[in-house]
Amino acid sequence: MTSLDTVLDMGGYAAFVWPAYALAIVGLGALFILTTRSVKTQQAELDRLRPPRSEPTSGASEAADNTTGSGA
Amino acid sequence: MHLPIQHVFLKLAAIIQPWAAGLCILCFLFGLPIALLFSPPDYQQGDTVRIMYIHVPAAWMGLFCYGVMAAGSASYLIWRHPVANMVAKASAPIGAMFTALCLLTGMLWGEPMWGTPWVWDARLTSMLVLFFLYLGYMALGDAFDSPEQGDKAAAILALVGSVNLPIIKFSVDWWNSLHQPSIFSMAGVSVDTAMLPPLFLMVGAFQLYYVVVVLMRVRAQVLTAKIRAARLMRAA
Repeated sequence: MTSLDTVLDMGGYAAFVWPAYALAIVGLGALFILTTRSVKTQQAELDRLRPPRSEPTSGASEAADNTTGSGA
Repeated sequence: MHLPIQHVFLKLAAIIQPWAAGLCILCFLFGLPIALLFSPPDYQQGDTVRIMYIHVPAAWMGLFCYGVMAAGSASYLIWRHPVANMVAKASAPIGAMFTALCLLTGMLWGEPMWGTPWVWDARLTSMLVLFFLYLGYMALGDAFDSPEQGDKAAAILALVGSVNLPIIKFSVDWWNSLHQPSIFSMAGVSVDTAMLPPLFLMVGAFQLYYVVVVLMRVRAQVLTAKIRAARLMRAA
């Protein structure tokens, strides 16, 4: 590794090595974003249907969730 | 509804998730520079060997996720364990993504090294079958009016499809394959030891990524169940 160019060139295989890493980032990133979004929209939908009680901390909100959840 | 056990699971998940996420980021932070810059090029493959640090962990994850899916499906069918089914369902898209990543990075490596991105040999074909099994599992689960029926049918498919796992694993030994033999075998390690640290770091990163995402996806399923229950309560 002498300079940025040699790193970018990947011994002449830049067209194969970099896309492989790009695909990994896109694949893992896309699934992560989709998953986070689905959790958020589901939580919002649930809050809309069943407004959460006053929640001073996140722990308390989980507890409130728990009681209503097991009652359902 | 088995809500209590789901809540125990979610509580555990809330503890595990931040640690898994932190460790995952650490593995990527160390693994990526070593894989891309500091590990040696292969004496034959040159720098294309760096594709292995994505390809091999992705392949292992493709098999691992299917293993979890099959085990989860089995305990769902046998013991009606609801969380096991949720974990199985949550693992499917992650496994499909890793299998697709394995196939695509394999093609990117095959083009310069084999002179072709694809051959219909045992290893590549059985891996493609694995990808379709994932797609089939996800499609079948959604194909029924009753979610329970869909879950059952998909779980049976996951179990039947698990026959493919040993076929993938041993395909390079059972048949003449263009594909490289296993990195680890009874004969020892088939790659240079300098290639093992980046490989293990990337395996660790992918494995921890799986933990983070699978827990989130189970959470989403619990929320879906709660939404359904809340809607029923409203309708009643």
